[in-house]
Amino acid sequence: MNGWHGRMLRVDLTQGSFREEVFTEEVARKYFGARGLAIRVLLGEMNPKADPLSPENRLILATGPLTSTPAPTGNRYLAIAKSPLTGALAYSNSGGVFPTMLKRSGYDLVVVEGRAEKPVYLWVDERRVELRDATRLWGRNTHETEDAIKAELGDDVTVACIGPAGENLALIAAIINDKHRAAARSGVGAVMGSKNLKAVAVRGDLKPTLYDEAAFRSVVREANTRLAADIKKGHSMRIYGTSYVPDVTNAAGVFPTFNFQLGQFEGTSRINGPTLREHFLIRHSACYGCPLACARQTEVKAEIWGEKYAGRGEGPEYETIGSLGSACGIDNMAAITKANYLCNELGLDTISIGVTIACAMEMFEKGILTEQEIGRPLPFGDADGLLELIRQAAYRQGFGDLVAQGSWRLASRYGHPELSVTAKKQEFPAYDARGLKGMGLLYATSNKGASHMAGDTAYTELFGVGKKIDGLAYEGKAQLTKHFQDLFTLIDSAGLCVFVTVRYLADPVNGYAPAQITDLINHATGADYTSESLLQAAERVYNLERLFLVKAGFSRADDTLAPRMAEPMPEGPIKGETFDLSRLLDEYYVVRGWDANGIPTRARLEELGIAEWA
Amino acid sequence: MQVWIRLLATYRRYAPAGYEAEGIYPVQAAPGARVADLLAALPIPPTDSFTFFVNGRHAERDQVLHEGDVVSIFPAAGGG
Repeated sequence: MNGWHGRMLRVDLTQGSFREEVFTEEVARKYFGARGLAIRVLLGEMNPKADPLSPENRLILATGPLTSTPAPTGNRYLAIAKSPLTGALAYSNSGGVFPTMLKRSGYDLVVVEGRAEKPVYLWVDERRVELRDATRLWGRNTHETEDAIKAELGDDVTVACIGPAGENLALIAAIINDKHRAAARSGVGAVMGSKNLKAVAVRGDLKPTLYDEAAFRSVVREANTRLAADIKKGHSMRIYGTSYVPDVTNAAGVFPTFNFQLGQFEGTSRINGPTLREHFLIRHSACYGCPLACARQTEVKAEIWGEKYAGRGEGPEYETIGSLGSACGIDNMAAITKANYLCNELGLDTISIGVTIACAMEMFEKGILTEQEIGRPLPFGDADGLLELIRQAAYRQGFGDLVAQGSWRLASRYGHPELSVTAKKQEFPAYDARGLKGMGLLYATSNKGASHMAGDTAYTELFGVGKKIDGLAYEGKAQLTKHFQDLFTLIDSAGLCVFVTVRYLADPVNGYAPAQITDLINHATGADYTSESLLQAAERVYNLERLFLVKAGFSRADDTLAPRMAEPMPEGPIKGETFDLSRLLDEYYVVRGWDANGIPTRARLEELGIAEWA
Repeated sequence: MQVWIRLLATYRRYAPAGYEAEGIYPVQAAPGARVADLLAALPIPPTDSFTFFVNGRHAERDQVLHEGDVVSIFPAAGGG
């Protein structure tokens, strides 16, 4: 096989056993990439109604055919499982170094089931597999865990692990790799914790062969040349990373402020890219082999900002600034950066915990939560409250026990689910849907709840990459969102990162067709996809995922958005704007080939060649 | 009439002296001036791919400006 090892590692933690399972080229093409092969396992082996924190759930670490290749950003993996936060699917994407080394350990996927009796970690070294005792690592944060494993196995090992949040089954716990990169969303860290699996350590140099390496490298060269020319001119993503985005969303009035009550934040210029660069940046850094290098190594110096905010790490990214910052009314960049470090060390999703604390702040200000219940006053803007609740959530202490369950469960417990800004119980990323209708439809219908990573139409509705589409228009959004969902399924499944891919490997000018992505996949694997047939392969995966949701009990009734989006935006560029899902949902189902209840029709499944899964 | 230019991200460097920090500054425009007229006066390289908003929304280059309009301009980089 080219592009693939054709091997997945199966680990049963209950039995303490593991085995190799091979898959054929035919399977790899039909169930395309990381998400395709993973959903085949989930649908085929587990009851979609199973408790996500039970041994029956699978935790799948999945790479794609372009992971560990020279393709620009070809260095991503996904943590895939049934989500304990949403009850739907989790497919959380991360970069760093770990994804490439996971692939080079000799497996395309690692599928973990069961539950170990005592804490263990998994060690994979070029197909030599071992389960090791992790009792002494339990309770340690992600940085201590990685350091301890490297001390044991060597510095050339890379590690993905959970912190206290995952151990304590926080529903918003992340899996952290390389200390600073997160497969953050949907509670994948809690699934790992429920299995008593503290970490996965990998090493290796086993690379699948490329079908036509010369042709592959020629496509890579061409894309890298265009990217390098833009970097030379001053690429915002190189200079600021995603921290340049608050200024853009604020200008458009879609920057979440005070738990999405407003779309513009008075303190934006204090939490934006120039502020990060001037006061906190040490140097920019890159995931393995990435030509863009959008990550930022940062430091909050004690002598300038005070001991309580001091630290060193990476970030914050845009989503973190929006969630831990403006959504909470916090304009203190030192505190936001420190909160980001804490989330990485304790193993928490910055988006979900930020928007959950924002929700708690609103509940406090509205008198629904009292100082006594929280253990402190918690007004918007309370940076120290933010830090305290992050720590409490990771250890499920005090009020943090509720924060650890996300905003929907918190707000519902006090009779106010309408204050939770979620879709399928997962917190919104930092784009207000009232100004970006495609994003609203995306959040409502995604197989993983609210997530920009499930099909970021902001590329066109906001950033105007390639084509500019009016964010406020409803027309055409059903088709647009569907296309972006399929395109992002493809990017995930290939093992790529959206940042370079959408602009340099897709064709933004011509309908965001997966132009060079198709070439790279064909040259890597020897397949003969066209842009159309590759998108259809992604659509097949998307429909299989939807079938998993349907079997888990999801339907149209769950394709909803936070009630806040029906409230007119009070001020700013989109003053008066609401998001009316009813104007898009029926059309979206028609475009998808689903019935009025949001269930894939037999005809559509037959067209996609997956009717046997209905 | 007076309109505002707001330069975002790496384009702040094109702001007049004294305005680089916030990136927003007022300019005088002739009545009936269009977005294109404003853009032409900026030192942005013609090969750059950039995005602009008028009052926070995508607009066309031939859109006629009005008193107090804010034109935001930034390199089309995507992100998230």
